[in-house]
Amino acid sequence: MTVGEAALEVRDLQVTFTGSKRRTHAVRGVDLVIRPGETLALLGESGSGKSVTARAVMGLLDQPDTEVTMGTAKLGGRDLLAMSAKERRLLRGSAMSLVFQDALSALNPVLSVGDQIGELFRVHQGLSRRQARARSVELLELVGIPAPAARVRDYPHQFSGGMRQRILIAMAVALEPGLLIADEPTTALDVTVQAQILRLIDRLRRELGTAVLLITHDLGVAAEVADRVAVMYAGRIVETSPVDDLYDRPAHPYTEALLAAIPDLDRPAAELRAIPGAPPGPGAADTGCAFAPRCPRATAVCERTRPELVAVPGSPARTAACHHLQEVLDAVRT
Amino acid sequence: MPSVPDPEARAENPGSRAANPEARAENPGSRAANPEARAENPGSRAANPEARAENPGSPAANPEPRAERPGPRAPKTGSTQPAEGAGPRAGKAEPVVLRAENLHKTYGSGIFGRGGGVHAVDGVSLELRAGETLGIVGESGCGKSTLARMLVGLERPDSGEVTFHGRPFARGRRAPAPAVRRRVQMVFQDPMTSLNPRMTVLDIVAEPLDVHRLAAGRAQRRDRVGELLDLVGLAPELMHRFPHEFSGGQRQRIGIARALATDPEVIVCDEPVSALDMSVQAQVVNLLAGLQRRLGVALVFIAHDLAVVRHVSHRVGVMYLGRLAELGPAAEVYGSPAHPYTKALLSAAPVPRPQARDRTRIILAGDPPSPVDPPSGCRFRTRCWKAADVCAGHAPPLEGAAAHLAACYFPEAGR
Repeated sequence: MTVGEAALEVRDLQVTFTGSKRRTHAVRGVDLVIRPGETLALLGESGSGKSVTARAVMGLLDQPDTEVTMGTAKLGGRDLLAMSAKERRLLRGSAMSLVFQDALSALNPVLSVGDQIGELFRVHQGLSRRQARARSVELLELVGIPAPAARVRDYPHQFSGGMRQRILIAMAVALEPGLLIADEPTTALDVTVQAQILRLIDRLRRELGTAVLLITHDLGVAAEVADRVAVMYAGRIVETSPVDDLYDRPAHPYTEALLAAIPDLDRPAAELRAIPGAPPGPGAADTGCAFAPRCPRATAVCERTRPELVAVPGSPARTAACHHLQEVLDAVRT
Repeated sequence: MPSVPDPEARAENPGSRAANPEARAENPGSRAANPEARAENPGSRAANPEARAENPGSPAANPEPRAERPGPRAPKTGSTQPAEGAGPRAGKAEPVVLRAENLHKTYGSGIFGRGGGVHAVDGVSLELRAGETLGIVGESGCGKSTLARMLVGLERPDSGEVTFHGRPFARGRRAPAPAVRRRVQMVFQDPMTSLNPRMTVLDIVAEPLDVHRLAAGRAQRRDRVGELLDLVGLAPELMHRFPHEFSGGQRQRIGIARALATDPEVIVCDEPVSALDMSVQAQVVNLLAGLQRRLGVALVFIAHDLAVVRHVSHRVGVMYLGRLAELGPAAEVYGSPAHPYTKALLSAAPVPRPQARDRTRIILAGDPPSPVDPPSGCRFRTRCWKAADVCAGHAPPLEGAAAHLAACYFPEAGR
């Protein structure tokens, strides 16, 4: 895929943790391209490497015992790999920002939310306290906190879970970054609040033209907000697709199996088609297709040779990594 | 006879108008012949004696309020039913195994001398029939876990009572009798922390056998554990391993095997799949449904995932801030929700179909209020688009036609 001005372009991202005695290869060659104003959902189970990918892109894994390598890393046309650590740090918060899953632990409990939001303006834009406070109030209003002028002095514990998540989102969009990474932003929230937050992220994306990388394990959440979906399994992307095609006609057996394994509210089935076994741990051996042991379509070649992520025949916008790609596409879906 | 109120039971629950629960449960059939006892039967109505007094006729006009009728199904999809053949739908005669009557539980009141306790469960009544699955859905803080713990006797209700085959679970400060406790077991949410990491699977699964002295000798104990592991789809050879050697899904199977060890009639599952990866959830859901078909055990299935609950349950109760908002057959609650909260909850649930994205949705404003200081009257009224003055007064009673009950003054039409 060639993209002129991608909001984010990452090629061949590898992350290895070397802390314990053995090396854990958590991300094994991930490519990500997100256009401005687009929402890409990175879908995967725990241990699939989706959160590690997000942190590596943000540059939050520059720490001992962690090896991060990328072939290409461009943020809005700027080459991250050519920058110094200090330059990259200045981009965090202003050009790209991250919304964490757990808002309570992501906010500083001893600073008022106004101080925390205002810090962004004071550090990045050199505003005065008074100006920063005024901008904080505007932002709280933008994300729908009632009575923002009064609540700006409150501390995180005085807000509910949904409100805290709104505050985190306010901080993330404060400097109008080109890329917003949301790591499971609604997993800790109730269903009724989740709908509000997803709607908020989508509204901000439209209004500010931000590209969104949404990390999630929830097929429903991805279906609600994503333009494109990338499915991760065992540290690799196994399928990328525009959202409609993915759900209508999955190209990878893992996606196919996941869709069959989740109960559908409107179409309850007598029996869920469970996927046998469990996902491999992050340190598992890397020969052949990682999904082969659980795959109903696996043959000898799947255990020997790892399938490359290739374009899906007839759908240039899609890629999938499966030896039996055509077979999966041809399968009649109910 | 059920028509004769038991003075003792009344004395304990003055508000609950409970007739002698023992007599009632032992004669389930006689209820049909006795209008008065029947009227008392939809237990939650007992939570609102005043409201009932205002509508004395309505429950009695209804021939069998709690019966599991095969009646009108979800009009929307005409879909297949979950776990059909498990029985309880077919049999009106299925006896009530577990009954909760007007349960209240408040935590932490008075620790700081201010009396502002968390009203976790506030007047919940329900009953569970043999072989059925009762799903309980609700958001965090709605009291569903507290309800689960009271149903198995891990928590004692402040008032109200849980009866097992009509026998009170626990009276006063005494612990539930072992004979009762044995028959009501629990599966916990987190398979990582609910298994002792220093015990082998054999010892974990055999612990209930030891406690209740159900196995004579080591060979029998080992055989029984092997049988149980086989039942939940684990190889019996694995019994000498430790929990950390298993994946999340396998650990949850161990937890289920432990719950099955005492041959229970009821298993209360508190979020049994929410800690599991999505590709593994279906395995455990299918396992529970299969066990119910084979063993006829009654399940209380508590979860926040609406689709999973829909999938496994015959009947579903929707909780909001410590109270049941709606209770009824799964197909009716999901197909034609009567309570606005149920409607909003279903409408907000993400649907794994991008085409459904543009459906009209009810997006509730704000968060659920704090259970420390819940709103007066109907607890949902602060977020409800139908709320009127009457909602702030008395809490609406849980009532409705047939088996589909809702606690709302303005229930959705079309039921």
